[in-house]
Amino acid sequence: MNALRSFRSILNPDQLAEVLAAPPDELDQDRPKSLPASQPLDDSLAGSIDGDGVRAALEDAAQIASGVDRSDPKQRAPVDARVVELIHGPLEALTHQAASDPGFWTWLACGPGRAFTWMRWSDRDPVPADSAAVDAALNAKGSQVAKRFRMRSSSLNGVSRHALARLWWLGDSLDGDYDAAAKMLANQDVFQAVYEREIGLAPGLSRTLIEVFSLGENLIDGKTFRAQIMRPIRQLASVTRIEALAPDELRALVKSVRVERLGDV
Amino acid sequence: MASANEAAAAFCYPHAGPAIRARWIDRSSDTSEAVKWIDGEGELDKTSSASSVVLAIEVELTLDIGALDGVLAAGEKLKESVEMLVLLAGPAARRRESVLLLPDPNDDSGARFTGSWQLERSRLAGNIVFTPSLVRTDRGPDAALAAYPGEELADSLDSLTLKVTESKNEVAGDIDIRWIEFPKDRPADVGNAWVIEAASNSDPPKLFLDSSIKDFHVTLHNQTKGSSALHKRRDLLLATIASEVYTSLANSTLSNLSADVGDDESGLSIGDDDWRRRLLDDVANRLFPDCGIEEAFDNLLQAHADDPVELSAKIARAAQLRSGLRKALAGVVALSDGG
Repeated sequence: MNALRSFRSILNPDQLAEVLAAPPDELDQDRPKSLPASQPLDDSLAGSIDGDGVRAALEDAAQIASGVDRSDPKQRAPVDARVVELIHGPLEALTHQAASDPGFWTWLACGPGRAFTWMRWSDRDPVPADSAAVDAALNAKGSQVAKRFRMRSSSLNGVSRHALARLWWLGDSLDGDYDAAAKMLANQDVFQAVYEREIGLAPGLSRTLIEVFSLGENLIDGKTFRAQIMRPIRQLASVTRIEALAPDELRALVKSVRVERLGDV
Repeated sequence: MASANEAAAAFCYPHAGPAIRARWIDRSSDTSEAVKWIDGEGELDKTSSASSVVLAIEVELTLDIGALDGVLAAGEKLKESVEMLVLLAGPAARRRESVLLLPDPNDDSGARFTGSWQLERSRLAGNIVFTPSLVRTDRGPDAALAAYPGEELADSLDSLTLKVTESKNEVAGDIDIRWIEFPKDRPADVGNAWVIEAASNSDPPKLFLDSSIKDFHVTLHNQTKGSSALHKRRDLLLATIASEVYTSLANSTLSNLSADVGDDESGLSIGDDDWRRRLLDDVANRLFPDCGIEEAFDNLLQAHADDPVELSAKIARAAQLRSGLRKALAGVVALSDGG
């Protein structure tokens, strides 16, 4: 009779707290809640991911992030376009189910991706030495980087704020086309305007926007893009099932919005 | 193409409204352990051990043809430039797509459509909503009507929501915890702060917590550490809930079990992996710590048969010890003393 040994306890306070409270419990464990504590990254993901490759890529990303003037947010932002392949590529085989687990991304940012996440989003030194130091730094009054480490939910907003998840899902949505991803990231406001809304999930929309607006080549003001392009497209989507449009029809729709709102061709 | 300004007012053309009825069917061969269908909603436990990697869903749609009067152009046939789709929307899984449905070949009216598709479980997360939609796919002849590709002509109230849940078993014992607003969702329980529900089978018990109580949710989600007042209040709340739930479930399980025994001497229709078995094993071990588990279990059943009231009181005391209620209470009392 092994039932007692395998008993997982019926709702003791610690377990109740674990359910009700997200991080920092996860930070304490330094792992995603759904994965056993002792398993290395590659084993945890059913052998489909090269854990060493992920760690090495995250270290490379941290190197890139450390090579800019971190005191200037405008210097830090372009780092994303340079590292999106490093974040998505080694984790390309990640299933959507795993990628929708906030605990996974929290763990990755606080663990293997700690240095990158810190250098990309904080102008302070030094990089926290371990997850406990991350925890302390994030809990410090006035911390602005907590949401870059901790993902509260897998909502569009939650993902688009997280240092690593936002880049992974972007790479995934573009089927690993990192040139296109870099163009979308050329203006962070444009990226947010597309990927923080459900309409941004429509197949082909982000590629069409990149093409029609020559994103990455022509700089478009983020506020203008949000108000004059994405808002009308969302309005159109209330009557037009964008996900059902063929690529040429979608292109025509986006172009019509551009012409109507910006007055150019 | 309809202009953005025109489209700002939704359906700036005649729309048939919810003219599509839908019947959803689970055709997966082995998902009975994984998908629960309740009132048109399917709930999929993504950590279930069910072997299926693919869900097969079928739908039968019936369109109220009469509702299309004035929606299609005069003399326009349904099949010419209009198609029946099911739209999938799942933000958590980053899915937004459409599936084309074909007219039922056995139906002459042209009002019936069928379709089926397979969903890889690895690509499912959060809620996936399936909504039938009749959509124009080619340019229409009348600009006063829906005339552009993608414009919707009719929709449906019979959408299907597939909820992809994560088993609570891995993190919370065997309790399915749900925050709801009692005044809205459980009016009969208004006045309670939480309610535990346990079926007399192996389905996980549900713990409903009333999110309409001010700061209840915030307090239980409090993440501060150390000796803050909020932290101590949270600990007391957690211990109180855990203690009551443990007691309540143990008593109800024992009662249901004894009612089930009947003529069958063995009495137990619950397996070793059933949460009820794990719970009663835990209770037995706490009340009869000097016995082996089988003997302790037998003693527990006997104690319930002899004097269920006395046993219930013992279980309540064991639950307090187990949940650390005393320590949590002392922490809060010390606060009121200025400690």
